[in-house]
Amino acid sequence: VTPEDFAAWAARLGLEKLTPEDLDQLRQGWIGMQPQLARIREGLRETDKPPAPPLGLAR
Amino acid sequence: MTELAWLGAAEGARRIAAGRLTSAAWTEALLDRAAALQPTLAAWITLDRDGALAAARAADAGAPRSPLHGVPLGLKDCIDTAGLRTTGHSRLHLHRVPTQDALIAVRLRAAGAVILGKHAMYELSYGGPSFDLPFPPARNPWDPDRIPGGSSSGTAAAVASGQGPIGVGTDAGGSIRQPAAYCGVVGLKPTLGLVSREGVLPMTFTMGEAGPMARNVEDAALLLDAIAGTATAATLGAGVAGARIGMLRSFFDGPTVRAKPEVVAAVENALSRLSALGGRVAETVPPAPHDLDACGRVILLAEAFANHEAQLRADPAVYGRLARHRFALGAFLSAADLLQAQRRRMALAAGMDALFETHDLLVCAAEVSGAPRFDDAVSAESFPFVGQPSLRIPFNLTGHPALALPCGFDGAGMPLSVQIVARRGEEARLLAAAAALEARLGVRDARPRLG
Repeated sequence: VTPEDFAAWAARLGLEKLTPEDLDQLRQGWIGMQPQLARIREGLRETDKPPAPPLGLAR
Repeated sequence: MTELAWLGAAEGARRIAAGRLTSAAWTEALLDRAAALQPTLAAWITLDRDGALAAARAADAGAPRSPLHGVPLGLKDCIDTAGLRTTGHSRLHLHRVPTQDALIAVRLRAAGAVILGKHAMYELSYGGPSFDLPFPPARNPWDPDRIPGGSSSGTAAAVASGQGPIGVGTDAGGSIRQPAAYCGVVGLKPTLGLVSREGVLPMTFTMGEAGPMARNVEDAALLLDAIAGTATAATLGAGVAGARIGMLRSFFDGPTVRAKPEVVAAVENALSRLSALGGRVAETVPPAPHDLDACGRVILLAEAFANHEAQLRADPAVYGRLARHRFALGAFLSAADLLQAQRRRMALAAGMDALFETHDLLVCAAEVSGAPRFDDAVSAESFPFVGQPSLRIPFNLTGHPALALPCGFDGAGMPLSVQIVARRGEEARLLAAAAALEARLGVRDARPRLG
């Protein structure tokens, strides 16, 4: 995610009063979190995993 | 005055009950010491001299109501006290004066304890050791150039430096155990849900507990009993003979968590002492530290943001830099992220529970090193946790009680700490094991060199 995209995302979340320095730090933190989020999803038990698409009849 | 500074809660209460000490004299000595050390250690946000002395005199005038009768103590400044400012160490609550006590404070007053004041902390339990707040950060009594850890920083600093025998902290991600480890005191995060959160400024909804901090295990047990209604102090002599103790080597000497060699040696020494006491020590394999940490972080971030969402949108500048960043990061998590973390949490908690089918206690390090210096870069990072996993969050995630016990010193003279974990609801067993180990480690009466 680019700095501009991240700032736009923050604005959509109502966080437009954060400073550019805040957004830079948050973007770095968000990037740093991605391996952790992936680790959580990949480690789910089979019975906890969400259904994989396609969910309906194949078209 | 020095003798009263280092007087323990249990011993002090016994002297008061026997008429050999007044609560007023003890309280006044501690208030004087706290005022004298405040420029050096900044352990307090508010000292309530008048209120504390009045409570002490009332205790002296009445019959003992509990094993903490007349004992002076401090509370982390996120625990409400009626008529006494409770700020969370934040500009956000700078002038907030609660009209009601937190249930913790109600119970302590009912026990005859004397509330000296409110301790400094990391901002709203999630900032860091910050210099952009209305109050200075607390400092480590063993070396004021080093952080005391957090977020219950002032509580640990005050207890370690003889400004009160005990104090109440809170722990949503290690916030009792880290400062306990860095400052060389005992800190217990109780079982999830054991201690009332009523009247405690919220940081999370499902990860945090208030708990005792003390210079010895007996005092920690008495404080837990007072705030939680347990009866752990009565069984402190149970020891660990026959207890099945699981060593979590991956939590201090593994491929993803490698503590400093001095920490590894100190934890191994503690384990050998437990073995000598009759504990049956064997290595066991818990869920991966990275998995536990990742799951706990996501839940903490999401819950912290949920608590501060409106304020972050309206006026984020009211927070210090570190708290602002840590509270805001949760905004960028999705509902699915949180939901998957909660589902993973159930599996990880079940994995930890499985260890307790064959073990009564688990043992690992409480921290990977002694306290770092304030100018250490890690102390000022907004998100230091994207690196090495925490050794404490796993037990916030799973809800098990976990205790940090001083177990030695590093080469710089900073305290080191071992962490002992028990089944949910088995604080009595946990504290009894800690008491037995404490008696063998020989560091219980170590004190920092201060005035």
